[in-house]
Amino acid sequence: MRANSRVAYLYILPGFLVFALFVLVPLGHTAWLSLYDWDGITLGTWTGLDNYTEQLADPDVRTAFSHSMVFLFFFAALPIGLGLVLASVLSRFRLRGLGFFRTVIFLPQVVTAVVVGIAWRWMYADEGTVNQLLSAVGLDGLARAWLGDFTWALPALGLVGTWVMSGLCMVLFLAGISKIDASLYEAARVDGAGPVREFFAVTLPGLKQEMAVGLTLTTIAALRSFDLVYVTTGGGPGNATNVPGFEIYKLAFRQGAVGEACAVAVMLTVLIFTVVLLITRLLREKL
Amino acid sequence: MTLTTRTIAGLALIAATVTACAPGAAPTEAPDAGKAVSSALPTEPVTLTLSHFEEGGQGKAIEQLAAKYQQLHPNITIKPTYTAFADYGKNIKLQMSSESAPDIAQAGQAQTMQGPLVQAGLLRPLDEYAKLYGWSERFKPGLLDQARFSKDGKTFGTGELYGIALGGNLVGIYYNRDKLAKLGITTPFKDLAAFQDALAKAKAAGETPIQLGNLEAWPGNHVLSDLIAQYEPLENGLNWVYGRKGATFDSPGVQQATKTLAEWAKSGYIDSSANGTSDSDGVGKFIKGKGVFMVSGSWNRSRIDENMDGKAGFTAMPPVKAGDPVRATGATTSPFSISAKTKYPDVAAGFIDFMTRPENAATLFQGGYLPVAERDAGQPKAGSAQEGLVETWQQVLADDGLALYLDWATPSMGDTLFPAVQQLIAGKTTPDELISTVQENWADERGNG
Repeated sequence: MRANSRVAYLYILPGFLVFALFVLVPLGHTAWLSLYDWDGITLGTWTGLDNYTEQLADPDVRTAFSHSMVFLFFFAALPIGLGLVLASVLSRFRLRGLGFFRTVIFLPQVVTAVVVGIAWRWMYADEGTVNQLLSAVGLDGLARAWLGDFTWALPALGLVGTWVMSGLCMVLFLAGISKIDASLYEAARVDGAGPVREFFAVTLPGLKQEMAVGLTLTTIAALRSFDLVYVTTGGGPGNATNVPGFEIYKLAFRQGAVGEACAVAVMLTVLIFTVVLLITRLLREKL
Repeated sequence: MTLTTRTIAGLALIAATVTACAPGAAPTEAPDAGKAVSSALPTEPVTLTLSHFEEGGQGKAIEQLAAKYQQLHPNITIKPTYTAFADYGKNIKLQMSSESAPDIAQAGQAQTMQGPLVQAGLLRPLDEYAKLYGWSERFKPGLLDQARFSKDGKTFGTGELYGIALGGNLVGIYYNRDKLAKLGITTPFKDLAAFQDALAKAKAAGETPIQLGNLEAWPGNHVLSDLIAQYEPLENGLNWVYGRKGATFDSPGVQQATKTLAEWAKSGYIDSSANGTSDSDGVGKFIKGKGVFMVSGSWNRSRIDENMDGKAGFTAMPPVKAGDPVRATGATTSPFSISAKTKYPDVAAGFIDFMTRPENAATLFQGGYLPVAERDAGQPKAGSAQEGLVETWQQVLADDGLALYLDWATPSMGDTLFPAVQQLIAGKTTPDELISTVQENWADERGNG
């Protein structure tokens, strides 16, 4: 056994080396830099955990993290819910052109985030598609420059996330449903279960693994989001759409506060790890 | 599980070994510091690299001058390399500290680029070259002061000279000629009250008085700073931007300017979609006729002239009291600096001098630069926005009246001030709150510096 596992490690070694070089070492380097007061160019000075306490006390940073929580709802919870509904509906009925719908709904996943961001920036503009649609149905009163609105900018960006992530969840769940033993559905129908009952009794439990994968992917996307904010609002108006990823960018590249940026980056990494660990624990163990 | 514990142990070991040294490098002295400067050029073949972020016509002008220089000095090649501004600012520190640093590099004023580079000893002071080539006679003192830094890279505006700029930029009022004619408004405005009357008139006629695309948050700050340039004595404003002791943002002039902007927004003088419209889209709207005025910078001039063809004009933000000198937010374009690592500082300085010599002013002007060194660099097209812009520029320069940019004050000033201006325009913050937020940042950064 012992010799076998050594051989196994040997197989892992090449992959591990690449992983270590491009993931672990930079991660360690970031953690190391977070302990210094460093402008990215001159000699840094050791400050211990000062960067962490300073950033945790900063209201802007705290707001950024709270915006992440809003994004969790729009990037993770909502797409998972939508994905479940879409997948169970699409798999229940033999639709003509199912492949077409699947492709269309999945498409946002394929498009680069920058393109997505710019397209939505135009759609959310005061003369953009969203307002045109609103006025077409007589809701002119609601029209506004969405990304410039202190209340609506964050949910507006969140909905872009929903739009992007829902397709992924749907495809994931469709694949999951096709793996569920058809006899389970038959048994449920024989027992007189309606479509709703069937969904909760058969489909949902059968999708636990896919749910874990979907939640992990969407949660990570929500928490580490940067590109969408970068190309649409730049964190504005005010700080209404600032997120930790963008805060890190501002600190490191605009303000030359590399140490502080690394501290926020480490905190964000820890948060992501914790949440993902929770998800896998909760959804995997009951299998 | 054992793997993760081992990994953590390994990481801890790495961490323990590296904490011994700090990131970055201590500043080094230039290799030939103290060697006498000379305008004599070497006879052997020399190739110098020049990094810049000037786009379009302005970038082309640099290439033309490099080619012209090589014709005059066949053994010397100047190789300009363009990088888009968005990437340039992020890489300049790495580039200049690398072994293959460019000999000449464009470095933005203040703490954005120049400060950290001076602090790290990566730029060569140019005072001796300034004496050699007579740069202080060629440029107004205010134009050179922008590129001066204390040797420790902490205070700017005085100290050693680290760069020379090719042109200038300026914020003022673009206007739509057709709309002014229809509303019966004439320019230039004799005072700020006259401009405010025009705004009220435009509003009453159902027009958008001021077009503004402020999604990026910095464009709105230029409206505020152009107002501050009128209400606040120039000297006070400059002291604040330069970070001099005792300067404050909480002054009667700044208060008045901030209040005025808040009132403009409240009265509907500023496009209500400003915060949700990008700068570029805002300019597009102005071109299409949404907006009688637009308070913006010279960088948008060529697009406006190309698309409005004689239907747009440019005038200065008028002074509070009629007849007072013209003041405006503006500065030189990002100056060119010489790397402390270059083997040929004399050649680099010679080329920088060459670019700003009177005989090359026309090339720069044609490229779109506002002339810093030569008054009569060229004639703009009559009736264009460029005509008003060049005239305003000359008026401001004649009196050394450039107010510089507020976000130069500290490295994080932009990230503090810009969002606050968005909030001010939306009525989400008061002038007093904006001022105290901004001054707090200034005091904090100054305290640390």
